[in-house]
Amino acid sequence: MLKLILKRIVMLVPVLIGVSVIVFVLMQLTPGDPAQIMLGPQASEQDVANMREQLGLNDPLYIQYFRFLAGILTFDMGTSIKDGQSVFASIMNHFPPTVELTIAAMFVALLIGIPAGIVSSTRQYSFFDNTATLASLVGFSIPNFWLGIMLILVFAVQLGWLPVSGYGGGEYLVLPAITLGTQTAAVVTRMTRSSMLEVMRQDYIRSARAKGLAERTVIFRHAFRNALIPVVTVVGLQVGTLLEGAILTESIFSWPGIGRFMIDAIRAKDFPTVQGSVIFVTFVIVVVNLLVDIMYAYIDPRIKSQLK
Amino acid sequence: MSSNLPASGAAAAPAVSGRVRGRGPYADIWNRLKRNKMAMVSLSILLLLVLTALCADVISPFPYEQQNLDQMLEPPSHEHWLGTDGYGRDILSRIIHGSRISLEVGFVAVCFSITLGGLIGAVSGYYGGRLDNTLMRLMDILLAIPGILLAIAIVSVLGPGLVNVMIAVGISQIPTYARIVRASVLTIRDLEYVEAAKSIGESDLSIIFRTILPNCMAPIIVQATLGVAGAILSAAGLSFLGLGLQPPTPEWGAMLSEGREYIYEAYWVSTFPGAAIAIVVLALNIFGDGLRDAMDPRLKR
Repeated sequence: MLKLILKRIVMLVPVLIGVSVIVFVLMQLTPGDPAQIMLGPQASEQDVANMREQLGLNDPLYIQYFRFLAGILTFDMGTSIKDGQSVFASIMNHFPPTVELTIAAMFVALLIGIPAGIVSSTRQYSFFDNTATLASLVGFSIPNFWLGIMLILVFAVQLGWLPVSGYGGGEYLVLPAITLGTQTAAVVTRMTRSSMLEVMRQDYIRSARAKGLAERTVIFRHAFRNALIPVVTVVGLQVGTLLEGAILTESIFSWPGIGRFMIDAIRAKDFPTVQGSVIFVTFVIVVVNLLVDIMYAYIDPRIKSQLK
Repeated sequence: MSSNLPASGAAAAPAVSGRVRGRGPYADIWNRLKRNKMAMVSLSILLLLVLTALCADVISPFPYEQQNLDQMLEPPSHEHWLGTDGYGRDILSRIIHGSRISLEVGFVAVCFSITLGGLIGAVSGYYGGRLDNTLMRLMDILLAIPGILLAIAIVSVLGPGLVNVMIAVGISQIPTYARIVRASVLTIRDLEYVEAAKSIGESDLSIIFRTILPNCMAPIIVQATLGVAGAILSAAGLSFLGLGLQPPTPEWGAMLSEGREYIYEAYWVSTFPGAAIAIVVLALNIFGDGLRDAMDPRLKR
């Protein structure tokens, strides 16, 4: 098991280096001189030249890249052009609200998706099943930036039950979590349904029924447990999707997470911050996917033996 | 299950067996697709959308950029079916014109990623070995950066605008097509008919384009349908964030974003452009699902 984990971590290294190269190159291609942006339009040419020297912008590109890479490895992603704060510290400040939102959205998705998927599969082609299938297609297709605004319109503006936007107690979390969780709920519903249908056809389910077990026991003890494996994978991979969706959701609800932080940085042309947050979010997603893989191997012994 | 059987009900003529055998694979797909009601409804919506985009100038009741400051934020009425926005512009007319932009972005971005991704996948799968390894690791890296994040980063480099949005959205979809095409090429590469083409001395390029690619179109077409939906969503998302197309362009995501300002007094400004995105994306997703089932009945559920 340990060997498997190590192997996967080693395989990750080139991917992460590649990501850092892409982000670095993109930022190099961005028009505008960081020194000029930092000092403002009225700065003298001499000041700008001094600043360029101080920032190391006159060094060859590969030296700048290695400095950038060394920075990432030591959690030093430079300082923000906008306010001179350490980029890494700002990211760390904005990450907890994003984690909070992501967990809440996942909770919404599982709360809706798993029961809906189980009921759908036990009554295939019933009214409930057809409705759930259609609803999950709709849930998957609705742009979350529109869903968020519609929820605000109904529950905040019309009914006044929940706050329009902002960050604070639980009532602020409800609408963003539903907005972000809907798409994942749709994916989880579909996956649970198809995985359950697959398992219910197996011989051991027939045996369980033949033993005279109650249908409830058959479904939960025998079918659901085995159907859960593919669902767990999908749920894990959805963590990345949720973090991605958080960028838009946070912008709708003025949620002070890393997504909104990054969009604000792009608008302000604060490139060290953009660079740092893109790398940070990507690394988090890559690591989460790695954890999912490892967990998957842990749950399903067949995979463990395959990978050895 | 029944979709595995050849369609028999429609053709009642006695000596039909010969004709059934003579039918091409596309007719079979179409026959299966025809029986999927949801897919057909979606197809009608999509055709209607294409028609709307083509005839936008003729059918929109008002010029889309015409401001009318006496008629700001009017609710839906007989004159303005979907109301007016903060500048008194007719929302229906703007949505009709916006369909052009969304379709354009969707199709161009997907064509861009299919061309590049398809080429990478085909070369990778056909030649294998070290080239395959290098190209696929590159795709892994591109895939590791979340799509919208990559698109945001690219647009922030290139700046806003229609073409830049297409490129940004297109690049982020390349790895998907590269993987699909590579997988298809791998299954076909060693079949007899490819060997036959090789033995009569066809060049690699000709084998890839004339023998292999036409035989792995099914998964590409399905993915492209879903890809157009994804591209429309991403482009609208970028514009919503203010990084894509800029106002006053009648882009659905930008319109939706403009409407947030009036959420307290005029729900229609943000509701209808968003509904347009949702309907189009839903139709594309349902149609794509239907197409997949029709092209490969074995995969169905």
